[in-house]
Amino acid sequence: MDLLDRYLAAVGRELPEAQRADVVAELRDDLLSMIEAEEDRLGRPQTRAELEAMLVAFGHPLRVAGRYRKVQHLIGPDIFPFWWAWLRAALIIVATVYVVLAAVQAFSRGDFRHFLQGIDVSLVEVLVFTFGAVTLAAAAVERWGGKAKVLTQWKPSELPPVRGKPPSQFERVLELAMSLVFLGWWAGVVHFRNWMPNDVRLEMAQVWAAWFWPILVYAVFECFCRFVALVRPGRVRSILVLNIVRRLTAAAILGAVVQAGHFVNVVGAPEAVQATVDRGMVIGFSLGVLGCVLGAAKDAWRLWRVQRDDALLGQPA
Amino acid sequence: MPNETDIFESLRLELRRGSLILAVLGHLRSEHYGYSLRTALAEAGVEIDEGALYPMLRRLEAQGLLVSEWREEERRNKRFYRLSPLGSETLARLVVEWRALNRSLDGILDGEL
Repeated sequence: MDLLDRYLAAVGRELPEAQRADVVAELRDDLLSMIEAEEDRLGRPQTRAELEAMLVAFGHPLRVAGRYRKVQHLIGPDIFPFWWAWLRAALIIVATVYVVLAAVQAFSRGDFRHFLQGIDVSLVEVLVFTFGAVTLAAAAVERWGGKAKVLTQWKPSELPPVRGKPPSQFERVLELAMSLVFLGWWAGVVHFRNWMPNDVRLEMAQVWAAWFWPILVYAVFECFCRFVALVRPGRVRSILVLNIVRRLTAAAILGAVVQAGHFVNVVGAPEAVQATVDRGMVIGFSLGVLGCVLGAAKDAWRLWRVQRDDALLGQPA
Repeated sequence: MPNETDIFESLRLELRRGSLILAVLGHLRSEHYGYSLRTALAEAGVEIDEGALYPMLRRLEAQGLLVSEWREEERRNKRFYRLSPLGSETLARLVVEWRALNRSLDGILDGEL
C-alpha cells in the first residue's frame, strides 16, 4: 500500500486544506474498491506493477487534484478570442512604436546600419512583456468580472468596414502597367523628364550599376507575377507563393542596396540637400525592406490558412 | 492533423459529456457511493472517468442537488450520495428537456438516415 499512500499524499498536497482530508478519504475508498475488484477478478493479490499501472490510468496527481479546483483555466473560451485580438493589436502597435522610435534615434545619430540596436530594451523583451501584460489583463477579466461587459456591450455599427476584398481587375491592370513602366524605365526604354526646379537634377549613384541585372530580373519577375494575378486570379496559392518570393527578393535587394547609404547624386544643389536626400532614402528603403518582409509574412500566413482550410474541407483550392 | 477516428472520438466524447450529469442524477435517485455509482453507470453503458466523477459529485452537492453522508460499509468508511429534494425537482425538469431534445433530434435524423 506504500504506492497508494504516496499517490494519495501527492494528490492531497495539491488540494485546498479545507477539503483535503475529505477528498483523499473518498479517493482512497474508490482506489481500494478498484483494487479489491481487480483482485477478485484475478483470484490473487495485485502485483506492484499492476497497481502502478492502475494509478497511472487513474491520472497524474496534479490532474486529479486539479479537477477539484474552482479555477480550471486562466482564460476561458469566452474571453480567449478577445485575448487573441487584443494580443495581436497590442503586438502590432508596440512593434510599430518601437521601430519608429528606433528609426528616429537612428536618424538623429545618422547611423542606420544597426538602427534596432539604438534602443536600450530589445524588441524581443518588449514583445514578451506585452504578451504577459495582455495575458494578465485577459485573465483578470476572466477571473474578476468585466466578462459580461466585454461580451454584451458592443454595437454592430461600430464594427470596422469590410476589408480584405480581392483586388479588382482594374487594380490588377494598374499594378501590371506600373510594373511594366518600372521595367521600361530601368531598362532605359522609358525616360522621364527632369521635374526638379532651378536646374537641379538627379543622377543615379554608382551603387545601382552593380545591381542593374538583379533588379532587371526582379522587374521582369514582378511583371510576370502581376500578369499571373491578372489572367489567373483563381490560382490563389500560386499567386501567394509568387508574391512571397517576389517580396523576399525585393527585401533582399533593397536590404543590400541600403548599405551603400548613397543612392542619387543631387547635381546643382547644396551638400546639405544631398545629405538630407540620402538620409530620407535610407529611411524609405529601410521601411521598404520592413514592408516587404511583413508583406511576405502576411502572404505566408494567408497561404497557411488556405492550405489548412483546403485540408479541412478535403478539397484543393 | 487529426484523423477520422480522432475526430469521431472527440465528437463522441463531446456528445456524451452533456448527458453524464443526467445519468449521474438519474442513478442517484437511489443511494450510491462513488465506486458503486461508477460501476452502475458502466453496467448501464455510461463510462465515466473517475477523475471527472468525484469533482462532479462535489459540484452537484455544492449546488444543493445532492446530499451526502459518510457511513461505514464493508469495514470501510464510504461517502454515500443521493438526490436532494431540489435535485429531484431539477432532474424531473432536465428529463423533460432531454426527451424534448431527443424528439427533435429524432425528427431531424429520421428524415436523414
